[in-house]
Amino acid sequence: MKIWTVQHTFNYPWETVVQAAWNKYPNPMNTAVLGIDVIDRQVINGELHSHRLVTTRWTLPNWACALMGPISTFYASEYSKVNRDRRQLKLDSQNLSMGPFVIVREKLTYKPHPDDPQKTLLKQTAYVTVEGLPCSGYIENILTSKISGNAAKGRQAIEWVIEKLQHKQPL
Amino acid sequence: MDECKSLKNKYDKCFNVWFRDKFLKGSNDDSVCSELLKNYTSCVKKVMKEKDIDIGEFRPFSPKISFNYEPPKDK
Repeated sequence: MKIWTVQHTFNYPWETVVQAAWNKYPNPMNTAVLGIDVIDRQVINGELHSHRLVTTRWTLPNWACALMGPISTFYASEYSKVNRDRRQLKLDSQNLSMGPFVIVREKLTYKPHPDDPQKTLLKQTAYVTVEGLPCSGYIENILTSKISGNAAKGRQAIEWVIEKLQHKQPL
Repeated sequence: MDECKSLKNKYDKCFNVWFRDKFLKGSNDDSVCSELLKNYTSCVKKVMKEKDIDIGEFRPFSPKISFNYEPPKDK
């Protein structure tokens, strides 16, 4: 298993970043994510719980095509919780496709920056496990570097949505 | 998903306003968008069924990952 983690500070308050996070897709930076759909959402004990389906499209390298066929649409299941009192948004997702050989799990937390509550700290961790395949370690490395690249695009997308929100453009 | 796009757009519009003006300000009453949410998620679930998308065993926020290795501890 490969673990990848990163932190990023947004120069916007938590409330602004979280609103942008809901409206992150689609965006021009990360075109691999086709969209996110809500499966279930409810307020439980003052927390907003959401379960969403993430639809992604990848151009697969040849080795992956050989292993998984030419399918290029992948799905992931994402759960999230918003705690407005602690000003925290937590997301936890895992791929549904590509199993049972490949598990990609991602956890994200958005909370106020401990040194400046007007800023928001994003902590993102991905766990990539490839099992039962030749060159598992190699494949884990490739997937991890893809995730790292996509995470950077995801952060840019949040900034992009915030700009849009601040100029009151319709989302 | 394209099949539910117009229902999604209607719901998202309602949700964004509710989230900003109600939820973040302390209200737990989400009834204003509940009808739109119901219509939208019914569509999503129907398409998932048609496309055979199974949301599987994934347990959110739990320390256990469904495979037989020890999950990493959060730092």
